[in-house]
Amino acid sequence: MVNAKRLMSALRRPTFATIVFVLGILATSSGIAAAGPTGAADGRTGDPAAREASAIRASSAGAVSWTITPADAPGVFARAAAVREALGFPSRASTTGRHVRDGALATEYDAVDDVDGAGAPIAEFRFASDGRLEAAVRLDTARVDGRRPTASVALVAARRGLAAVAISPAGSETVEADSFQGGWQIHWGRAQRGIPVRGDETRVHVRADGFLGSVTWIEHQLAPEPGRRIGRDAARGAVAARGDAWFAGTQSGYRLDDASLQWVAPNGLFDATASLVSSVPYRLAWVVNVKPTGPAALSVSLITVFVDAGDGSVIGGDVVE
Amino acid sequence: MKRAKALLVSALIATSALAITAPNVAAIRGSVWSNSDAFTSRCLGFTDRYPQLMYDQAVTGFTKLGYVTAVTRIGPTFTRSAFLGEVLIDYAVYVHSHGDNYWAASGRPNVDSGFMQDPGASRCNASSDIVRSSAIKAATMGTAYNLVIMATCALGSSTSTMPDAFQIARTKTSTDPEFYLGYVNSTYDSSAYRFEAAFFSYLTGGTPHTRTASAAFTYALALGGYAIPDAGNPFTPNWWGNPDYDGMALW
Repeated sequence: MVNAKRLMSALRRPTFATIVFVLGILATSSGIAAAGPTGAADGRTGDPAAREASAIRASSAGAVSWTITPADAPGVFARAAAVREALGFPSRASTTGRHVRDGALATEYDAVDDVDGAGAPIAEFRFASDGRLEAAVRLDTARVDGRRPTASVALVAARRGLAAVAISPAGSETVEADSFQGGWQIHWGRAQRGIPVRGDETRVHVRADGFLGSVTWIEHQLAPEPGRRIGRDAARGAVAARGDAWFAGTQSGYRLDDASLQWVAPNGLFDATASLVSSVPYRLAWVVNVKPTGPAALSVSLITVFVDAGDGSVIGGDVVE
Repeated sequence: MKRAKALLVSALIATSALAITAPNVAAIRGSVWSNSDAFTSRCLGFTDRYPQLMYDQAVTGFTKLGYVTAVTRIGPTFTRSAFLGEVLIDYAVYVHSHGDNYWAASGRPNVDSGFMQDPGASRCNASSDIVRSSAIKAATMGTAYNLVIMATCALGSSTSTMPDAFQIARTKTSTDPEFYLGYVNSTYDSSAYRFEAAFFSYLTGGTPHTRTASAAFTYALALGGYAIPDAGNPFTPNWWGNPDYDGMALW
């Protein structure tokens, strides 16, 4: 359908867009073809049945997925049903399932999607290969009419929801108003013997309407703790050696922040022969932040370096551009 | 130039009879831009591969959403003049670079958000490389945009003037087919890459037109596990636009 705003936009654009637009109108008004811009951009037919019939398909760069059904994966669907009921998620018209192997993100999981009568998704349940719940996300829109939950009410709801799906986070939680989605975010960071596990967390979103919006449980396998640890100064020294090499002969410099111990995912940020994302167990590391100064700071504000707490080698890092 | 346009018109008219029976007659362009040279060993001491990964991911995502990604530029061809010269024709725009809410030429407290063009193969970024929202605003000439993703730091914050450069109001209740995605704080590349992977994966999955960009945002954020630089910079993507828009190319 052509609306006035789009017509105006198209006419204000240069010749090529206008011509194409007019051709589009001609095609549509003459009743010929024009399957529409969304019809077959990637070879999809637009027919849901035909799409679902494709047992294996690429869903994103580096990822493949294939359909699973209650017949061939009864445990996955049973777990989804239990979580749906435990969290009070809405009833669905139909359910589909898929197994996803995502090489780019080094992850593999089962997903069960609930849709409503119109075919719109209303929830997704995601399980790790070992059957553990990774995430349950409610996708319908919160309808807020008047009263909203307080922080304490949201915390009670979050604890109740986690208990219902047998997740018991350790430590103390943080409760923050979600100013962007509405409601509250309740978060527990994971720690192993007092040392944070980078990115691992239990998180619950309580929506503005008081219902649970999502439950997330991210927990990675940890490698054995090294028998001996290098000291903080040795770790900073290793990073300083890198920093000196990076900025030698340039007008840029750097400043080192203090080092802290964390469990981290090794990655190939500084090793072009290694993958940027890996699925190997997390390792104990000193995490040191390098803050570029001079011209380099115009494009990069932070380089984070992971130094293996056992052998002192650099095992990865991250960048804030 | 005139001759080239005349040839283009002739070619389009001549082929229209054939093309009219094909899908995607009304090609809707989405452009993907990624600054990579500022993050090479020449400027950083090592080569950050995330610009290429995020670029590839965005091109794939835009294509699946039905945009014709005729202009996809990574590296030296991502210049300010190229961006400003091309953006008017786009309906979707993706930028990966360093971004910030810079002070406007009129001085504080006025903000003129921007991002860095690629510095090219012989130098690193300088302050003169900023592509400012005021210049983009002028280049877009008040036309509408469907999907704008700023894969940078800071351009999803409440002070960002970037959405307005694309005529997208900072509201979550728009009824126009528009969606702007950005990050509020300083954001690790790994977190933005992971978030956008989930965002595109959700949005381009399932039956066409049944999924919304706002739900894709909810989904991606709920997956969690996003590393943060420090407590002062929690992982906070943000969106503005129409909660019911599906992100797909649309007239």
